[in-house]
Formats: sequence, C-alpha cells, structure tokens
Amino acid sequence: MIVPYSHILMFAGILFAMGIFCAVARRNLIMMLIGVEIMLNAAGLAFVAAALRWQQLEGQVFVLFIFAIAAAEVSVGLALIVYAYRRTGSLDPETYNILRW
Amino acid sequence: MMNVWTLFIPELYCLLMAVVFFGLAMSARPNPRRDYFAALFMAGVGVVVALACVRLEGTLFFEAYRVDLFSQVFKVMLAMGFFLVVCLCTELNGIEERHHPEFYLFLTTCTLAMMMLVSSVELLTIYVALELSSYSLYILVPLRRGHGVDVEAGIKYLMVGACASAVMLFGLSYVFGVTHTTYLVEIIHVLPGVIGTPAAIVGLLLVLCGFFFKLAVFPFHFWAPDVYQGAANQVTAYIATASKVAAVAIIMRVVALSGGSSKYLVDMLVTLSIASMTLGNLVAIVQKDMKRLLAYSSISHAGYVLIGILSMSATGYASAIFYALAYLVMNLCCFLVVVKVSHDGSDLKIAQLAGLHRRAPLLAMALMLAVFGLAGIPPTIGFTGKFLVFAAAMEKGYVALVIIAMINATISLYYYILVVKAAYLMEPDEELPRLPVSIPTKVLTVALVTAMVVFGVAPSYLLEVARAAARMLM
Amino acid sequence: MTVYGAVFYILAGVILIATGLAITRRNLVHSIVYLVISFFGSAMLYYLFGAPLLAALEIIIYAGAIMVLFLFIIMMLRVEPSALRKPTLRQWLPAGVLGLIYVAVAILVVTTDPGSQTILETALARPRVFGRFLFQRYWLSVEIVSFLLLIALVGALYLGKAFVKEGGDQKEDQS
Repeated sequence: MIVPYSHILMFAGILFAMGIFCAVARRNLIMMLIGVEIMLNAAGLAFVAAALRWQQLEGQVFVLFIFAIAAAEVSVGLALIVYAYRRTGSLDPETYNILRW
Repeated sequence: MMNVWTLFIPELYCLLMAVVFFGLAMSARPNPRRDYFAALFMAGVGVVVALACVRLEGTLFFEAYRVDLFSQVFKVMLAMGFFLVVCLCTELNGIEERHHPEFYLFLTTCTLAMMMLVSSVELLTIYVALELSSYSLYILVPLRRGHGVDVEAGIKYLMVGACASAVMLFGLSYVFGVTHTTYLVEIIHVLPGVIGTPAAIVGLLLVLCGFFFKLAVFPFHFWAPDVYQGAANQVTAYIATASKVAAVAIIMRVVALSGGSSKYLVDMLVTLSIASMTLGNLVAIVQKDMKRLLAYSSISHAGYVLIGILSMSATGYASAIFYALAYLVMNLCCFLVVVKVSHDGSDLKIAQLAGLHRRAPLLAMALMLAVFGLAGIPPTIGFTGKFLVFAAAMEKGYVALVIIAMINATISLYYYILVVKAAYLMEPDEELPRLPVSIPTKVLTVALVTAMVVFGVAPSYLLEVARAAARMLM
Repeated sequence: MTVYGAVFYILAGVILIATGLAITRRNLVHSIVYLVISFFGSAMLYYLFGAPLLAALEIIIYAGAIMVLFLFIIMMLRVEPSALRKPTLRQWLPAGVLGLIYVAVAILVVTTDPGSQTILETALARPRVFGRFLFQRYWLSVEIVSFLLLIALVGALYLGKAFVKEGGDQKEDQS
C-alpha cells in the first residue's frame, strides 16, 4: 500500500499549477515551453496514479503517448524559437507585438 | 477482413494523398502548377470518396473508432472544405514556390487527422488525432513568405495551443481517474452517475478547454486574430473553416457524454457562449483588417454554435451540425473574395475593398451575400442556421440566452454592413484596374452563392441528414 | 504509513522543491538542471507506481533527450542571464490568479471525491505485458503518433532550412 489517491492528485495538481505559472508569468519563450513540459509531466503522473487506482493499463499507455507528443512539441517549438530569434534577436515575447488589437 | 478496411477508405485515401505530396516535396525542382493540379485533382476525388462512403457503418480497432452517419457527414464536410481551400490556391503567392508541396502535405495531414478525430470514440485516439491536426497547423502558419508577422503568429499559436492541450490532458487524467475507462461508450454510462462530483465536472470542463481552443471560444480566443492575420490567406481560410467544423464535431461528442443532466456544465457553456458572442462582436466593430474582422466574427460564431450544443437535445445537435455546414460555406465564400482581391498574397484592409463592385461585380455580389449570411439575414443559409439554433434553445427554455444572442446578431449587422458599404458605396482614391476573374473562379463563386441561397430557402434535405446524424450521438 | 508512503512523500517534496526552484531561476541553465532533478524524481515515482518501463523512458526521453535539447538551444542562442527581466506585477498577476483558482478547485475536487480516499495498492506492469497491450489495443494511436513525429520532423527541417535560405547565399549549398 502506498498513499491515498487524493494525495497524488493534489501533488500532480500543484505541479501542474507550477507549470501554468511558468508558462504564463515568465517572459521568455524557452521558459514558456519548459512550463508546458512541466504541465505535461504533471498530467502523466496523474494518469499513472489513476492507472494504479483502477489497476488498468490504459493510464500507462497514455503516458507513453505524452512522451512522444512532448518530444514533437519540443522539436517544433524550439525550431520555431530559433527561427524567431534569428529574425528578431530576442526571446522576450513582449518584443513580438506587431500584431495588436 | 476486407469489409473492415472499406470503412477506413476516406482516411486511407487521405494517407495516400499525403504520401504523394511527401514524394513531391522531395523533388528537386519546384513546379507550382504541377503541385496545384495534383492537389486539385486528388482533393476533388477525395470529396467523391467521402460522399461514396457516407452510408457506411461499423466499428474498427477494438471499438476505438466508430464509423457512423455522424462521423461520415463531418468527413464529407472536411473533404469539401479541403477541396475548396485547394481551389483557392491558384495564385499561392503567400508561400514560396519550393514549399508548395509541403503546404499541401500539411493541409492533407491536417484533414486526415481531423477525419480521424471525428470518428474516434476513445480518449487516447481523440487526443493523438487532435495533436496531429494541431501540429500540421502550427507549421503551416509560419510557412508564409516572410515579413515577420508569420513568425509571431506561429509562436503565439504554438504556445497557446500547447498550453490548451496540456490543460486538456490534465482534464483527461481526471476523467480517466473518475470513470476508469477511456472509451466514450462506457464513459457515457458511468459519467452521468458521478457528474455531481467536482472531479468529474472539472475534468470534463478541462477536456473541453482543449477543443474550445480549436473553436476559439472566449477564454481561448486570443490566438485567433493574430493567427488569422499572420498566416497566409489560404491557410487562414483552412483554419477558419475545416478546423472549426472538426472542433464542433468533437465538442458535441464530449458534451453528449454528460447525458444532459449537469446544471453546472450547462451554466458554464451558457456563460462561455454569451462571452464569446459579445466579445467577438464588440471588438470586430473597430477592426480595419479584413482577416482580423473575420477572426472576431468567428469568435462570435463559436458562441452561436455553442447555443445549439448546450441545448443537449437531438434538435440542438442537429442545428449545430447544420450551422457548422452553413458557416463552412459562408466563410469560404468570404475567403474566396479575400484571396482573389489580394492576389499578391498580402493582408487585405477593408478599405481596399473600395470600388469592388466595378472591379469585379461577381465577387462583390458573392461577398455581400456571404457577409449577409454571416449576419443572419434571410434568405441565406446563415439565417436558417441561426433560426434553427435559436429554435432549439427556445425549446429548452433558454429565453434570456436567445434574446442576448439576437441582440448580438443585431450588433454584428453593423460591422458586416461596413464591409458591404466598402465594397459597394466607397470609391478608391485612385482608379484601380478591373480584377481578372478566371472562368473556374467564376464557376466556383456561382456554385458557392447558389449553395448559400438554395440551402437557405430549402434546407429540408440537409436538415434531415443533420437530424439523422445527431441521433447517432444520443 | 508504510515505507512506500514515506518514499512517496519524500519524492513529492523533492520534485516540488526542484520544480519551484526551476521556474524561478533567472539563469536558464540552472533552471534546466533543477528540472532534470525534478524529472528524475518523477521517474522514481513512476517506478513506485508500478510502471518501470515508463520510468526508464522518462529518464531517457524527458531528462535525457528533451532537456539536452533545451540546453543545446540555450547555449546556441547564448542567452545571457542579464537579458532576462524580472516579471512586473502586470505579468505576475494573471499567473498568480490562475494558480490560486486552480489550487482552490484542486482542493475542492480532492476533498469531495468519495473514491479519492482509496489507498492505492502496489502493482507492477511488466514491459512485456505493457507492450503487448499497447500494440494490440492502441495500434491506431501508435500509427497516428508516428505520423505526428514525421510531421514534426518535416516541420523542424523546414524551419531550419527557411532561415539558411534567407541568411545568405553562401550557405545555399548546405541546405
């Protein structure tokens, strides 16, 4: 026996909130991408906990796909960031403001 | 074994198209005309294939994939949207010539992913298909021939999209944790029993966030204007039409899971719907750029579609399907004009429409009808769509919501009329030459206009199909 | 509380502290190093929850490939720590509000769900069982995700190539 399911959910929730915070508050494109990675990781932990709660493998399969998608996201995201950096010379999203309403 | 694969034919055909474009992308010499005709031909056949498969029914891949009238109707719409967007690519000046095969490749994979999305009835398949369609679009946006705007739009789209999908994933983990299954068929039995618990309702709402991002509903709307303006005109046309249709389909599937018994969910959807309509319409008034205006109008239309979905009745779902189709046709007609008027691939200001009625009378007429359709003026298909959606909501007794929506429709009339005024009453500062409109473009314009008017006056056949498709959800 | 329980709380504490440090560092390289610690902790949690294959993959893909890629890009772009401004109140506020709403909802969710008090039993999914399950039941998803990786590859290649083209014609041949 390990711990109540609720404790793991709570832990994953806090980790997820940290990810949101990092993605929203840090004014740096790379940090925003890292924030998304933290969010994905938190979701993965919640999935494995749920898989353990019901003794079902689906939750673990989900995590495997999260890994694959995180890898795709980082490759596309970083390629785009490098592309943008070379054009504008900045990683601060505040400098990207040609499009304004 | 044979008959199992026949169910999968539209997707297999899309896959074949993707392979062809992948091959073309490897060829050393750019040849835009070859790419265009290959795309046009194959997309045309794609519509025929999707239509031929419309009556198929069955399940595939351990029940994870269901082919029924609902999914097939949406596949036809997606194939049509893809075909019409490819039709707009005669002068693909927004994208460098050597990247044309890649452009078609990403459009095809996005269509393929959305076809799989509307057929999936299992959470993991839905998630993966959604990601495939999103990534194709993330790369399409910065594909524009550069003046810096495309990079910015691409980054915003990717960042907001990645956050939305992570939020959705967290919601999925709650839903899985509550219902201990990933199959929608089983969830639909378990979830109404536990919908009262916060975990279930929060999970479902977080899952919906991911789809609301695709549809550009209120809290996830802010990518829309930037991406619409920053992406190449044809890409914007695709994002504004086909991807919206797929989002409507999947939101219906997920909302239908709740079994219509949750008051919180309905309240939440009502709030989001009102917020999207009002915000979209009010901000659209001050727009100067045609694509930004269409972006805000798409946000408000997302609100109208939600009214049909939140009715959670067969009529409501049928009206939402009809509305999605109407929106597809009207919006494509608008983008047809945008693409043709700014044939060098630049952004189109509303002021640049001045004198359009003399430069290209047919296009001006099509624009007027499409814009009136978006505003919901009879006898266009847009009026019928709005009428059906409002009627479904009235049936459920959401009178206040319908009144707010009608006030919104009136506000929207203002900026739509500004567009028509620019095209018909304003004169350009200097005399501009007539716009060359080729025969195929004329045929396409006439076909779209006819569809808008005919199905607006006599919607009964389409409505029957939509009702039959909606019954598959219940 | 069992030994497993104690291990969970220790790991959870380590992960939260490491992540908290990672998201507040001004030097990106430090952030990455803290994140690697956090992901190692997550890998151990996966192992504790009976997913040894995922634990290995978490280290290989997350802590390994993804973080190294980040480091590589940070060093390639030569991001100076001083270039990172401190976030102002206007930027902190939305994040703080979001975080607070989220934590409130999470507490509500966790405390009111009757099933959440279930004490989890230990279990173990052997890689062989896991793999068989994956490739039988989720065959279609595996195909879709492989397609997604192909698209990501083509896209990344395109974005890299597009710059070389604009960057100057002497690099033309390399593209």
